[in-house]
Amino acid sequence: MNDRQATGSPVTDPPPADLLTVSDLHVDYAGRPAVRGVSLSLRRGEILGLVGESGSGKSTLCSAITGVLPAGARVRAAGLRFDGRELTELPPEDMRRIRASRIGVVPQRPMTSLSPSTPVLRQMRWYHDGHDLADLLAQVGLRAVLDRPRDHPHRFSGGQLQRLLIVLAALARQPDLLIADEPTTTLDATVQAQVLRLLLDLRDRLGPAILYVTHDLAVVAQICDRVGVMYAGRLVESGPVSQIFTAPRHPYTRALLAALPARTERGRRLGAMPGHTVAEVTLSRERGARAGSAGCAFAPRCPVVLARCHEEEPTPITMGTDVVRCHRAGETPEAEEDA
Amino acid sequence: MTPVLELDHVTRRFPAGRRQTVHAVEDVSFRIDPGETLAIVGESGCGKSTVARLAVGLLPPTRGAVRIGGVPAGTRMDRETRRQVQFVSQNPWSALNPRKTIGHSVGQPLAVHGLCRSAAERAERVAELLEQVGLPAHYAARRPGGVSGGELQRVTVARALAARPRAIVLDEPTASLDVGVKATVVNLLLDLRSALGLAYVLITHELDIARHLATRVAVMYLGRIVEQGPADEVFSAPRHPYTRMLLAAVPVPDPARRNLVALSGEVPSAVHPPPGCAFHPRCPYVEDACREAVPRLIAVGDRHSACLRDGEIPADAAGGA
Repeated sequence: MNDRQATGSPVTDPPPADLLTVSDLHVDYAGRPAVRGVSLSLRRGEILGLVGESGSGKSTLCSAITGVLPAGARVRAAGLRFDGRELTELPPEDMRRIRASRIGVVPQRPMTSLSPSTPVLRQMRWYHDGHDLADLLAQVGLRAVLDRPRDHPHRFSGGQLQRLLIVLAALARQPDLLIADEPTTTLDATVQAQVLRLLLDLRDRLGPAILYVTHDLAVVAQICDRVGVMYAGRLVESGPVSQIFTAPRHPYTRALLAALPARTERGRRLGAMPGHTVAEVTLSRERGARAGSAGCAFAPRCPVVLARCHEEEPTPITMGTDVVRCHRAGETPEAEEDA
Repeated sequence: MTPVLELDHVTRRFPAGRRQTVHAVEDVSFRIDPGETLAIVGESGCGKSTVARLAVGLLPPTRGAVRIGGVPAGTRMDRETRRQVQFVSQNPWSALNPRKTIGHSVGQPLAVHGLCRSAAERAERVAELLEQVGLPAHYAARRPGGVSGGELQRVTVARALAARPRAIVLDEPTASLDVGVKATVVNLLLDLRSALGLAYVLITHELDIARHLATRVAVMYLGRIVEQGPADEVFSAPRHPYTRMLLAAVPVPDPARRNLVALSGEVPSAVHPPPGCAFHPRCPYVEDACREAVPRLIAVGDRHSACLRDGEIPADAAGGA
């Protein structure tokens, strides 16, 4: 709570529009870049989706924001501002306090995020000892947990545990920022729907900003306000969901959307991304990973590649509500579609 | 016409200690004709993977019969029968021996079924098979470690094709793959189906993949098929309340159509399935009779639904996915 007062109460001093601003963030693992020059911002009450395939740097980006990167990782950023404070300049002690009280994290695998040898209810009480735990649980339809004080995590379903962890992360501490890293990837459709509903309800009631990491574009379409698309450590396109889903500007975003069965007539071949072999992907990723290398990382797989794309890395261009990293972003999509 | 594969009232139970029993698969029947794709969909624990293992003879049924080309399947199955239905598992990393070359793995069914006369002929056939699944022939010399997940899944499909099957049982073939790679595997399955006239049994929880590939679909809940029918009809106008709930839960990749509904409950335990209709504790249309009698799968035309109130429940827009 001290942090909140230190940064000024919202009543006298309205908070800046952006809760989180990441500027030109780089993360290297032992010299190998995992995140390269990512800039993004997040407002209170906003849900930003972060999509990309495995290895694109989504989770590393989240870890950099929460400061839980493994030893050996090196972070450079022009700025990493959270609620008006520069996180990179904070002493570890303050960073810990912010993480504990203002940033909540919902993990991907609920089962491995709890101690297997302690009853779930007791673990809930470690973090939230107030008598209103019953209230919190009732709010998310999990009152029944109170009747199972001796049950360990393995006695609960994945969906129940994930909702309990969301309760821990979001309700008990009421953080300003909630980072959810693939929270529904291991869940079934009907349970996923419950968890997503819960996140939306929490956002509406308590107003935290949510950074939602996923590879599932359908989930992004359903819950996010804005979306950032990552490829080989780069944020290649970001903008409002309506924009990205109706008029994507980056060839990689277009390829991702074309690969979705739901956007293709039944039984027709899907838009397959070119260059899916390990050699092609590695070449493409390596290019993304080589510090100071020339050219666009997506160029080896890009269907609309130009000679220039192999030589010169595109810089982010703002186009309306979108930010795109592509030399051909300014061209009309129609001209590129037949390629 | 003799179906390629037929499950006839198949039940499979497993002991679960303390004299308890898991009712993994209860009274499941279906048949696949050549060239057909039957998707078996449902959530984890519904028994769909057990159906896959029963269908390829990896598990004997507790009751009922599995027939391949009209011949009862099982451990005494002759090679010729066994050859006709092949299996592709969810996880290509564990499906291939990491110490053997890809060529060895793909060539194994050729050796087992005696489909090639010489080593040279086998090598040639392996190269052909790899090409058929879109991999260069020189991949035969590689080991699984040096190959991407999508390519490995192609290798397991090539191995399944080696036996010249009439049907392939695919257990979650795309679940572990990235979006772009998933699309290439779906395309491969489409291409092979039209080139070879293969039948597929597609076991999946990914309803968009099922909708895309299937000609027919069977929806499982707690070990039983609750609805079965032509895929386009089931997906556009689901009859069973569970199918409606399941389809309503699938997010649509279109921000202009936000369809997230509030759903209640979870799949109950298969050790203690609820009495009567297993879905009754979650069903919005439940009535007293549902708590007592297990509804039978009733045919209306070529649609089957196991619901006591089938026909009484108004068609709604729930399944518009």
